[in-house]
Amino acid sequence: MLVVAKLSADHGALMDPAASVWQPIKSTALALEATPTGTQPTPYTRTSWKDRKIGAVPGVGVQAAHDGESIFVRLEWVDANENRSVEDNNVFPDGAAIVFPVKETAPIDTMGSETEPVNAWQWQANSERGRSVVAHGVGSTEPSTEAVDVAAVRSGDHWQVIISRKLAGADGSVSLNPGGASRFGVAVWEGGNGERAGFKGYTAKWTDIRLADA
Amino acid sequence: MARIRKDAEQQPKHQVSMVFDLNKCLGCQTCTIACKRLWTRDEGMEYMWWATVNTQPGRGTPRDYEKMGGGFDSEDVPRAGHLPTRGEFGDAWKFNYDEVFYGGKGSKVHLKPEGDTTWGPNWDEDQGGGEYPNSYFFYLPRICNHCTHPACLDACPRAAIEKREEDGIVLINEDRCRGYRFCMEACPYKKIYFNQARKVAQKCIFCFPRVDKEVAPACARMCPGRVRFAGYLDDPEGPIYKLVKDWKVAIPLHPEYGTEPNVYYVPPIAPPRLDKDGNVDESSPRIPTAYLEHLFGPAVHGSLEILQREMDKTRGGGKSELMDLLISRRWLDMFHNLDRDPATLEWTAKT
Repeated sequence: MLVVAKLSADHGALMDPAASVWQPIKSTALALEATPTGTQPTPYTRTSWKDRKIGAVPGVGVQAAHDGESIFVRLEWVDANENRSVEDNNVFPDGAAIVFPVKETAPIDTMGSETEPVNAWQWQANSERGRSVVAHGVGSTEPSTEAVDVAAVRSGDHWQVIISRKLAGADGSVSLNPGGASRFGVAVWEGGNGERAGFKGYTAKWTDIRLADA
Repeated sequence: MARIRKDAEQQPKHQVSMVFDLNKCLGCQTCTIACKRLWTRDEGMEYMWWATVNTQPGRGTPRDYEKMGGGFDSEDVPRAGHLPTRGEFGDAWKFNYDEVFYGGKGSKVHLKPEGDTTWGPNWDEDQGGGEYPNSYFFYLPRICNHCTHPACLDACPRAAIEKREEDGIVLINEDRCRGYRFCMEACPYKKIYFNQARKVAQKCIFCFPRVDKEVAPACARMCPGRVRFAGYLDDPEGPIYKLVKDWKVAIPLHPEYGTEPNVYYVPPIAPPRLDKDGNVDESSPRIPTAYLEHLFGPAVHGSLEILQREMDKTRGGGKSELMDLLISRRWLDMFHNLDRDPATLEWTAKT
């Protein structure tokens, strides 16, 4: 169970991964594992990548807070190989995402199902804008309209990333409430390992969260 | 080769196609430039050449693409492929224009390329193969093959690539593309590029806005050598059907890649060899047939035999329908059903 602390800090501080406001908030360590190649959506991705080692980032520390209006999730992981660009065809950016079930019973390992969607909020190291997608199974992500704010800093060989969105969702995405509960998962793409799309390190099980009440 | 595949019922109603007659290609690159001027002038496209012409034997574009994998094996299983880099494509060289033209040093500094200049899109031009006086080369134009079994489409986890139902043109939907580049790994011909500015994959579109108006693609219409036939593979009245299906002289490049390309080639026949005394030696061809078989598979033997036989007919003063077809005395006959003059169209600028 990860408790999303209620803070009254200003929005700017909560969007700063290095801000002191994050220091007292408990960090939960989550293990990441490679996504299975057998469930990739196309014949090429299923067969041609089966011998490649994916899921290069083994774990991530998670902190979370909300201010009654928005939720802020702070991710931190070790990645000595910083990839911010797509400057060449074989270069991929680092990335991270958090995912919530839109319908409570949605499976995480297949990115939801036809009737049980999931909603992911993504950060990519080559973009200053986050994005929200809704998926109804592997290979089915479609953009949803809510704004996702992201901020990232490097601290030594660590990435420190904030992914934030308004608690209230629309357009088929997840809605969260102070005092309410949900579940979430994390994915990290190590660009230096060619990880993108369905090839990533991910939490194979949901983690329960509870939002502290106002 | 029989294939069982899930897209069998999704084959297009018609299939656009080109035939390139390698006996006529001059390597002038007019096709290359026609395409460049029309489609790849925006930011992020500087290094792209959707239409290329390479000297053979040679390493091709991108460099050594034939060793990069992709396509399908004989069991129709996708083969892992290498992602070609900008450098392997030959990149877009940068020059010191500012320094020479605007920096006040025009009389001291000469125009020169900057950065890595050890490879370009047709770097090994005119090296060819063989030893004088029996050296040889020919040119190999390439575009996206708009395959019947496209490895790119099969690879994309976003379902961003489609094969048009009406004419089989393979297109990347840039609204769906997320720049994952599995298509570039999977394409065994390595004719897909990545646009760094727009973060999407891009490739030859067979000039579909022209095809929609019955105008042949720009590379074909601009070819001064009458090398490029353009039309529909399933049009029995057109030259492509006649060359591919009736005469069986036009054959695909690397059929063993398993994608069933829709671009076909009439293989080249070079002038005869000379022996050590300088006399004509017809005991073996100047271009080794083994090399042509490497490029075009075993079907090249039959194709070369038919070409030689028909050529001999005309040399003997006879007539050959095939030779007439390949000579293309009436230019527009090369573009059956795509022979409309673009100057007769009302083009509307997109606003």
